Amino acid sequence: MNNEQQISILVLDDEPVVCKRLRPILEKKGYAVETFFESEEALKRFKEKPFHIVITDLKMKGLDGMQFLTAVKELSPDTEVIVITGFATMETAKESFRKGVFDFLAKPFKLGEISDIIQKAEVKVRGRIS
Amino acid sequence: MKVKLPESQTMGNANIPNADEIIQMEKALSQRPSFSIRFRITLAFLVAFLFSFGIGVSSIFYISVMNSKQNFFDHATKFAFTVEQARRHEKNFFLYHTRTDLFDALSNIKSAEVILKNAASDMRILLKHETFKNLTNNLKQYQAFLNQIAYWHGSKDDSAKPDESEIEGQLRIYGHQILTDAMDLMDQERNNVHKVAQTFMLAAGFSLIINLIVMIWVATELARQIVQPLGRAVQYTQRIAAGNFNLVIPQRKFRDEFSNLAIAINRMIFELMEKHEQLVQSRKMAAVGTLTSGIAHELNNPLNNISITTEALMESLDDYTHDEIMDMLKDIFIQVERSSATVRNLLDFTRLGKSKIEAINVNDLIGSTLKLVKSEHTLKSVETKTLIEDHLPAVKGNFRNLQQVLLNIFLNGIQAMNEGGMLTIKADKTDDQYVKIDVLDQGCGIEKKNLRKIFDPFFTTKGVGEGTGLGLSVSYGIIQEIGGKITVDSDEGRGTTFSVYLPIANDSEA
Repeated sequence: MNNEQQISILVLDDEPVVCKRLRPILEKKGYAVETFFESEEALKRFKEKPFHIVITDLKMKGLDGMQFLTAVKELSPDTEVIVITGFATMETAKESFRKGVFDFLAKPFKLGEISDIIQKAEVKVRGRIS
Repeated sequence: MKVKLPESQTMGNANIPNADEIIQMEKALSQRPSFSIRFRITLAFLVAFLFSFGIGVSSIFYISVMNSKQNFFDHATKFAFTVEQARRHEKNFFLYHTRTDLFDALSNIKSAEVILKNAASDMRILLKHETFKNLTNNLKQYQAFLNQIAYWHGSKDDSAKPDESEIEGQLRIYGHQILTDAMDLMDQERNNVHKVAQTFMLAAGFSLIINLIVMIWVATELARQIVQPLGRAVQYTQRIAAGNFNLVIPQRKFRDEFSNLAIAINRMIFELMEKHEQLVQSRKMAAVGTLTSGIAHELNNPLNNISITTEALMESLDDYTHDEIMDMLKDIFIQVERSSATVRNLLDFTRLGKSKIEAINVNDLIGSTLKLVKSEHTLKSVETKTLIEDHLPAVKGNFRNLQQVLLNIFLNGIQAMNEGGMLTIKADKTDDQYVKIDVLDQGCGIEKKNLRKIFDPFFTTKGVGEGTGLGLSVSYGIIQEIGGKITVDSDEGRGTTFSVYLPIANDSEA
């Protein structure tokens, strides 16, 4: 694994605690992590450098999660997007999957759950790289 | 801070009536002495009848008086005529010395005496005792002289014969006196009859005028007594229609058919109150529905924060420094606070129960309501700005109800700004009576034709399932109930301003 290319992850959530917690945990697992509270800044950064995996919240001020992931998928179709949301409805879940989201996770989630999903996404990403 | 009022002071007139108050008011209305309209009409007619009756009786009296006067006048005329007749015979006797003339004169005088005697009972009442006595005496004297002449006339004994011319002179004097008295009597009686007739006419005229006045008074008074409570009843219905559910309280010291109407109105108010409360409740539930997404978001986020932070700590506590651990624990603490505040707000909003009137701090009211819509406005990219005047006095109302009013207005403003914008909330004191809260949005505005209808129940411009059309009507009711007002001004395409006037709580109540 060490010889392989480092997987980059972008975390976008207007809840600072989520960013604060996920960052060290994911970094420990060997990912290159960048966190954002605001969708506009995250999108700006994504345009500069596409990430392998994007984790985004849905309900946000300004550009919301759905718009953000649509933009991300347009810029980089290979990027795997994981949606985390505080209010999961059938409609938002359906719409997310239609837009090619990798997985959909309702808050509150366990760290194990999100790690598993990230791992599965990593496998998919690596399969595409090699 | 909300300041709770003592129980006794919360029973202000703005309070919603309860069943006990209804019963109490019903008692107050029905325990007054009865003075029914039916009784009053009967009384008025009785008074009118008695008055007419009096006029009739007095007419009969006057006519009988006139009748007796007329009789007396007839007697006097007859008397005068007979005396005149007697005097004519007396004159003839002295001219021709025929005895028959003398006897005719005597018989006429006798007739006059009889007339006087017959009329005595009538005359004595009407004539002075003196006059009557004089008349009788004079008549007697006259008769005496005539008898004297009759006695001596024809007698051959001239020695004792008195001087005839002297007697003739005396006869003339008495005869003239009687005739003059009889004529005077006639004149007097004629005048009397005339006077009585005049008095009667005057009295009749007077009673007519008084009757007219009494009738007008009775009619206007009756009309007033019926029209006045009727007008009040109309006012009550208008007041109730405007959302003021204060009970009808006794206005007079007695009860009548209108008291039954008042009791019926009070019962109706009670029924309306219950329906109104159901409406308020259903609107609350609808608002909860609108807020569900926001609430889920507001609860799941802090829960998630707590969950992942705890998990991180449990998995590798030893990897973190003491400061990092403290920081994470603080995060957990803050997130717990945040969730419990959300739950508290939700409970405050949906809690059932009587609306208690209390003194409310406007800052708290606006602040807490803004918190409720936080997720809603951040979602729509709506900024909020509050301009609240310093040292605003406390207002009178029910905290949860007023929160609901502001929530409705805030949500309307936010929903009107699909493209985002600024929701400005201003609060200032307009006068000694009100604190005014202005809510300005920069949304789509309201069409002129709809502006009048927005407070109507079930009127909505939102799609099916998005709005019940109850929010503003319930808000209107709530504000009316506490004696405030709510106005709206809109510039189509530019935005809408809602102004809520909240009555300032009295110092004694604050």
